[in-house]
Amino acid sequence: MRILMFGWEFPPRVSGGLGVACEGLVRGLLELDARVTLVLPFRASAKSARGLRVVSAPSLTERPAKRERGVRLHVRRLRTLLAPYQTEELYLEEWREIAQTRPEEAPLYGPNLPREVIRFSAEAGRIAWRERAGFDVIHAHDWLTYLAGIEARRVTGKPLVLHVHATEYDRTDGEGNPFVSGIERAGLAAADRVVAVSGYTADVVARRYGVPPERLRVVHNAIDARATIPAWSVEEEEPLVLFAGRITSQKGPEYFVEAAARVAAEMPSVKFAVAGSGDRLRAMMERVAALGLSERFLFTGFLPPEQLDRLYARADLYVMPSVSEPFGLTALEALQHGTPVIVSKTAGVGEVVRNVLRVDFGDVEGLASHMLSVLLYPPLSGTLGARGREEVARLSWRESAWRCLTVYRELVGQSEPTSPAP
Amino acid sequence: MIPICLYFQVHQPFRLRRYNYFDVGREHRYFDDAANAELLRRAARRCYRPATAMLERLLDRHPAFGVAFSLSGCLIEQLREWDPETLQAFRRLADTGRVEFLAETSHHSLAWLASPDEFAAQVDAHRALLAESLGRTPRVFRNTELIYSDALAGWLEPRGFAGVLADGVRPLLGERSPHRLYRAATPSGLPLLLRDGRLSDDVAFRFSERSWSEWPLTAEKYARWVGGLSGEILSLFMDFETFGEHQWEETGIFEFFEEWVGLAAAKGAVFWTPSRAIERLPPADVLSSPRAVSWADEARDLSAWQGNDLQRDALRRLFALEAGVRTFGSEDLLRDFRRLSTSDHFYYMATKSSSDGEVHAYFSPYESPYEAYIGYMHVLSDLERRLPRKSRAASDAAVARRLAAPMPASRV
Repeated sequence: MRILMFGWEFPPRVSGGLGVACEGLVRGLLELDARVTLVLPFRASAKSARGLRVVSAPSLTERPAKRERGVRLHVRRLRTLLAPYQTEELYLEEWREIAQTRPEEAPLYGPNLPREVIRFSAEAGRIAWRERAGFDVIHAHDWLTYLAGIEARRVTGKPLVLHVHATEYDRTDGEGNPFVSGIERAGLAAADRVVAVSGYTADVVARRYGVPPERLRVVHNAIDARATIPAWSVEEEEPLVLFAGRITSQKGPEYFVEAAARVAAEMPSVKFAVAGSGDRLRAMMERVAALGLSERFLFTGFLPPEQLDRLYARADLYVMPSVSEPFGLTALEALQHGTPVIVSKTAGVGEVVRNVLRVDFGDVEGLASHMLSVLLYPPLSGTLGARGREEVARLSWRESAWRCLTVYRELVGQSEPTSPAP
Repeated sequence: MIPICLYFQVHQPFRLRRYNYFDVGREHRYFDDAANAELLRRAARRCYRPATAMLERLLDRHPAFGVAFSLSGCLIEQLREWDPETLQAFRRLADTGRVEFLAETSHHSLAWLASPDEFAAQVDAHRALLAESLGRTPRVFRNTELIYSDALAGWLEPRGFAGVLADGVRPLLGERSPHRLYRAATPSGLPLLLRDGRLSDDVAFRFSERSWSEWPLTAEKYARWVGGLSGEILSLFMDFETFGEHQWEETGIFEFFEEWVGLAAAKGAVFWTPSRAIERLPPADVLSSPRAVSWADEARDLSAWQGNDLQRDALRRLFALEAGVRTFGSEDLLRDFRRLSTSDHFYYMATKSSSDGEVHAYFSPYESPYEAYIGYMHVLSDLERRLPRKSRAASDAAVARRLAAPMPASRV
């Protein structure tokens, strides 16, 4: 199977699960002998654009002069300011900065997010036409690349799979940006198959965008086993509760703070760490100060993976109180460290792991009660951590990639793929 | 034709209400009366009433028919409170004189594993409750979920019990047949009656399972299997809720059973109660199991209730309060303490996977074993706070002692 994939930069470049998921899926596909032509966005000025690493594909070259035999991953770079979790405001800020500091570069990009998305899709169409002999199916991840996928489908006539990692309804409180939801609606209507990262997200997609079940599939995210996982060897006196992720209303940071206040009132020694950044960070810090909890909170800002790893290892509990969580990969990362996890009942990750505690989002007292339970009862934290780690060790991106292959084959009309088991 | 011994377990726990950390010290009502009443009435509607009516018909029709019940104290209390009419149905069966009622703990509890004193007290309480509500005095003992070990038999024998029931599992039987009456490893060889697990579960678990190679199980087929057995006694022990609850009425379970009893009786089969079997049969070999066995899960041991750290911790913490409750506690405290000793609470905390896990999940009102543990532990915290301060110190010391000294091997 040969796939043209519109993906996203891999870690450590990006914050959030989208890059991690794209990387995992591409690796899984390569392990299953698929061929992937990966179109990645890059910024002319960004140094880290060269930093792409795909560990399992040492043959990766940034711009191969021509298709080499035996190479299963080809990367095509497409210059753009698009980035995961972008908003119109963030885009405009960045474009204006470029216009001021490097005016010669600014005309390369659209002057606003909608124009850039459209420009990107036109470029994507050109790449697809050029590469048309080298792929059977088109696969694009999240709304910023949906139009690119549609354009590639239009010029080549090849089937299109759109992968929903989140919708505008997840990312925002209400209806969100009509331009974004409009692209989502049009894209999902045009796609031959829609893949959602969880049953929860599939429900959202079916309900909000009317995608019928015969075109809708669920492929859960996963996590791959790691050779070494950093441990925290020091015996700590103070229990630590961790929140990590984009600090946006979607992630429920205010529920974390309110629950933390109740926990802190009961346990004088407990501390809280918040790793991440976002438009609700300031409000979160202000609320912490207003509650008199500044001494108890550590705000780390955005952390690169190796530092976040150390926090997972140090933490006694990981909390993900999201209002809407299509999947929630960080819960799997925490469990990989044997750190107990509390997630919202709506989080997609709850569909693949059972050894987590689940709360209704917004139920601050219920969340605080569960946090205290984990911190107070060692048999509970021990069992959640140990069994959670075992459970996560059984997951793999290879499995998710195999499910994607099954979806491709529905469209390309090849026989059933063989099982992903090694 | 081999004589048949039927025993049905009837039990409903007092399930806990949702109870969180912040309820501790504020809310002293632990049990979900509304849900418990509803579940009891549902079980009565689907099972207890139609199934007792069926047994009444069978007793009328077949002079050689008889059965045994064990009604947990929790069930009797719930029937008294929420459905006295159904209790009368059991009373009518008792009054026929052909239905035996067995002894157990008042609270279908794990007291045997934790405290001989509390165990004895609950056995006495159950006996009193049975006399009061059904006018019967039990002679034969069955422990919670057929938990059995040599030590249990040793405890029962000097207290005048005529015999004891257990599951016919390999650790007890080895290669022997379950179709005989055995003796326990006690000084006088207490009679020991063993369940035929396969033929019991064919009805209790597999009856409506379409993937089972023998499905559908007809009365003729089952009668043929039973008719082909050799031995002295066939013990079929199962939950009474098999009729109408675990196997819905629509599966044909009632018709199956009634028809099978008719076919067996027509072939001259007799249905003995446990007491009758013990009177009639010469006991065979002595069977010994120092380790506890039970009828639960694939493992048929204690792992359904004491298989993980959560379950062990919860039981330890409950019984750490025993001395305080007994010495300083009120009637209310003792009642709550005993309701918390019911095995079901621990069963909900099991973290087993596969088919065992599915059975646990079927019975559990919780989303996960963790929720079961958390709610239970917060209730225990509140119970502890209701004890006078001096007894709390005593129970802390007891916790320390128990943690230091693991349960004696004879009990587990």
